[in-house]
Amino acid sequence: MTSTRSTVDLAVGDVLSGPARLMSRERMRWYCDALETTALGTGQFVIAEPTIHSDDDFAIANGLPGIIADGMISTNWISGMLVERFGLGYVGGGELQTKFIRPIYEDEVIETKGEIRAVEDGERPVYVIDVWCETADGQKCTVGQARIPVLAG
Amino acid sequence: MLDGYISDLEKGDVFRPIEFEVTSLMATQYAHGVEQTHELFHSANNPLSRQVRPITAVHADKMKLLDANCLKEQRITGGRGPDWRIHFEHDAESIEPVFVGDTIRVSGRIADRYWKRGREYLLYEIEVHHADGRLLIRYRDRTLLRYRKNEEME
Repeated sequence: MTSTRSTVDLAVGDVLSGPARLMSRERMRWYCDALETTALGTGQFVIAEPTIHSDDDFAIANGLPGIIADGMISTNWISGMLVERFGLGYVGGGELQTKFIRPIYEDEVIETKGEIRAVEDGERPVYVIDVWCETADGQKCTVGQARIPVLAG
Repeated sequence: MLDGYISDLEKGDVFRPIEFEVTSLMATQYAHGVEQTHELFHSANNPLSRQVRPITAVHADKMKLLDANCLKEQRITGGRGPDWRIHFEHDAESIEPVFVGDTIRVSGRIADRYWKRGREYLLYEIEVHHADGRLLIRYRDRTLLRYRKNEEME
């Protein structure tokens, strides 16, 4: 069940983490199909046409070495980590900004992390959180920041 | 310029808005595709008593908006432009949750088009409003128009 618990107990320097996941070809494919099914919105499931995320020849024709993951997969893994920890505070009033600074290639293991950078006081206190996804050897691929209201218990 | 390819879009272009009802499949399929298992996104069995669409699904709203405004390149129905774009930045602020059953209106514009280090970027500014006028999501998105660099523009 998604958390609705108080988040006032977090402090600068506290860390967050999500599960390490293999960016498999199948996971890249899932997002392609899910995105287009959602966008079409007719109730039909879509099998997406070839993209740089699902077809090596298409990716190479566009100047890439092979398929790369859509940046929104890692963004969603970060978003999922925030939903787990902050629940309604994030869903109903949070902000997530991410940049895709390095491609994620097939079969790289990706770890999802965050760290509380600041707690901003005010009428509505806010956690400022550095978030990122990195490879198993520490190369950052997706970096960004989240701002999430502090919920009282 | 609207009604062409995405690569024809120019700074200042204002998209024709789109309006649609958020369905359960839109929420569950998007969440399932990125392994978001939280019950918020899969049913009304949650503290809000209504099913929520993931905030990040605003990415699909952008795709719908482009399909309605770039008629030579309607990706959802298999259209293609001259080059495949690369998503570079996502910035979504949730003002209020988007619930299944809501009718929402998606509007936006091209805030900028520019070159940086040999690559050309589009900056989108998009808003999602409830049909009753409430702002739900504020979204900025930066996309490379093509992966290959133009060395003359470095």
